Amino acid sequence: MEMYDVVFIGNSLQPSDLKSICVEPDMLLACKGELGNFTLRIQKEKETQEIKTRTVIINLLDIRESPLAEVPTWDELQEPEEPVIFLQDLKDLTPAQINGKGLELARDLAQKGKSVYYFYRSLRFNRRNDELYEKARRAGVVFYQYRNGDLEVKGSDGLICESPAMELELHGTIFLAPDLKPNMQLERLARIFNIRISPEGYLQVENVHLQPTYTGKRGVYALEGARNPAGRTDPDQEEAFTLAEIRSLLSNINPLTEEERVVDAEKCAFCYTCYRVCSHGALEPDWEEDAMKVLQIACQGCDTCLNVCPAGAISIEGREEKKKEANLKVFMCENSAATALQRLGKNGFSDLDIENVPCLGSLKKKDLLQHLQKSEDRVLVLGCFEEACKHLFGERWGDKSVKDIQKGLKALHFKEDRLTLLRLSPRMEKDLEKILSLWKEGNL
Amino acid sequence: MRKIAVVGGGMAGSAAARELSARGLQVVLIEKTKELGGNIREYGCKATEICTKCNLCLVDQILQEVQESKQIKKLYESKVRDLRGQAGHFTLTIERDGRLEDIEEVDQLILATGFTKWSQIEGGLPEVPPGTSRVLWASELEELLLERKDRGNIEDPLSLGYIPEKVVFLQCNGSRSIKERARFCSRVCCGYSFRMAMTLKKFYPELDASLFFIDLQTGGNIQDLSFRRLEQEGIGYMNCKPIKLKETESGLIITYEDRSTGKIEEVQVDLLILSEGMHPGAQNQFWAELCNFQLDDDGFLYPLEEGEESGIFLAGSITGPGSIADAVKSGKNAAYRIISRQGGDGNV
Ligand code: SF4
Ligand code: SF4
Ligand code: SF4
Ligand code: SF4
Repeated sequence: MEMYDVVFIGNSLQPSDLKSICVEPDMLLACKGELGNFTLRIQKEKETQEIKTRTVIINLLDIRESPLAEVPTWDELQEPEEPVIFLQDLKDLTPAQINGKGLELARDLAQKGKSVYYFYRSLRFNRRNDELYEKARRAGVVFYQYRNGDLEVKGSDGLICESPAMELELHGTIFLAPDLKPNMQLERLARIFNIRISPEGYLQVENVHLQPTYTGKRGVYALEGARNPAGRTDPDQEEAFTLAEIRSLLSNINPLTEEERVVDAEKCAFCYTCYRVCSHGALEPDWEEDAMKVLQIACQGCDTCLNVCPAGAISIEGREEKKKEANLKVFMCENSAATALQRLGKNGFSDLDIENVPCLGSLKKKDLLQHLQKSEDRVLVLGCFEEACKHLFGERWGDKSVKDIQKGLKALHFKEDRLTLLRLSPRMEKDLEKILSLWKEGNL
Repeated sequence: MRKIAVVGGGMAGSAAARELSARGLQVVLIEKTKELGGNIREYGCKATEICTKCNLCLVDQILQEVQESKQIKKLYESKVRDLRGQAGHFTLTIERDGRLEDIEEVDQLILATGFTKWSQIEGGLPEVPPGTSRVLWASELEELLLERKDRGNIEDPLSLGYIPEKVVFLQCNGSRSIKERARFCSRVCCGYSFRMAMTLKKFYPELDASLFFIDLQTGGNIQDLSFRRLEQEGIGYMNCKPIKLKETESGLIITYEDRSTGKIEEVQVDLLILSEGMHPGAQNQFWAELCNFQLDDDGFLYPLEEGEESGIFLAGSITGPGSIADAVKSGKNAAYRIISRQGGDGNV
């Protein structure tokens, strides 16, 4: 079977140097595999077939609707009656990309000698819009910034704008900025690729680690309307970045971690817990073994699956479980506390047993308990702020483990504060220093 | 093996260097100061109880990797004085310790010399009362945030010396004004002011915070930075630019024109935060002449030839204002383009 470099779901960018093909989102039935070797099952004229690809780009437009049923959007602009009235931000602030389109259309009409008004609450800028705005103004477009409640649309041909400073009634042809809604296919695609979807329905949750076009699963990218609307201000650059990354990856695809996470097929109960929990879509059912398996290239080593597996079936190959003695134990997430400690530059905390973990998600209750056996034992867990987790939702699982144990301690009338979870960022080394010294003394 | 030179050890340059070295390429990183990180070195976390997506979580691991990498030769306190030759065989002359030295056989070059903060150029308008502690540049608040004190019985978590009751963020300083030599929007200040307002409200729950703005931009990877969101978070907003600042015993008096009524109003605040436009780097002109780049109307660079032909790639805010995430993205992008052109050596 031939191997594509990229499969576009939705619109193709047609990169001439990459072997690519375009698949309509509703044709896609399933996806298996990982970066470098995806197998997509698609339905074509009642037949199913499989295609293989190294990477996937989901590139779909949003659904665009007029915020007012009877008034057209500027996507539908045709030979209008004068004056032409552009109106944006009626319900929501218009994203930069759409704003740019409006400015461009307004400028063109004004340059043809038409009388053009442009009503907005906030212009949104990207690399093009500053210049478009200036040109539109020079061409004679009249801009008017209104406030919420100041403006009333009387139908498709008139509006009234009333503020203490000015009163205005205009008649002409109104064109509205379209409202954006996520494409209905996105939810299905998220399920097929096993990637996270935001509450708003886009393939990027609010997390800095997903910028610019990452989805959480290596080798699957979200462009245009598949990304959250706020994130996409310069679509051309995002496209260029994504293709550049793919080109550079193709010559050399490597696992991100040296150690392999493996599922013991004997122990695995095939309960799908790990599959649902992994933010990187790195687990896949293996029907021959009747067990889950870890995709080594997709895995980003957060170890959350090890923690959540009820059967204890997942382990890191070749790593010995350490026996631990210390009674002041600190677990630090690599992505926040451990980075901050390094920024601090010195280690005046040699009396603490500090262990770096890849993510809060990797904290097993068993390990935490092991460090709480003796009455003088205390454990401090330091991880990222909510929504800053590199593994998206790993921190939630760590939080849960800690809370469960705290509850247990309380039930047994032990002090809950023998186990503490605090959150910080890599830039909070001063706070870290303070936390460690206070905690050591037992007065956090 | 031939080497890639990266000029500028800010986020874009560091991200590029990291990516190149991860693919086994030899890198020389030329940085004019003593440290990596550039403008954002002294920025602080803006999380409340949750992350507000200020992007700083993207940077420190990259900087630490560059610091430790043996494949990246770092030349600190060094400035490029000359560039000769062509793609595949550039020679760079740099000045270090008052001496000139040549770096020969440079295969490709990445320019990531960054931007200049408006506060480094001039004070802007309105005039700030001299010696006041009630006016802070956003970058000064960043430095305070870097020292934020979240734990223990903290009276003054940001070391302001007082508990602020009312704060105003003044947007578009050194941006979007011909007088301030920038017709462009800097695109990041609305987002960081929003984050800072959120963080201040976390530390001082009673705080009355508002934004004086012209337009409201998106806040990076925050799904929705809108007027509605500001209302939800209890942050006020006022469409105007102040006319005058006066300091009194009890605070700072801002005189402004309320554009909705056309009336002149006054408000007293404890703290005024000035956003800072991202202006072209001081060396943009130099690079434009040296490498045959065009300077756009705003003073940023754009290439006449693609890097693939000229051997010179641009990354970060040398081409215009952008966020930390944009800098990382464009640094990686430049590295990727070099890697896919000549391939890494495969040893990672
Ligand atoms: S270690 Fe993390 S990324 Fe890897 S499979 Fe487990 S949950 Fe997924
Ligand atoms: S969580 Fe454990 S038992 Fe359940 S499917 Fe995954 S590996 Fe198998
Ligand atoms: S606010 Fe910034 S530094 Fe703090 S956790 Fe979020 S991204 Fe990291
Ligand atoms: S980002 Fe906001 S504050 Fe900054 S220049 Fe643009 S509109 Fe003004």
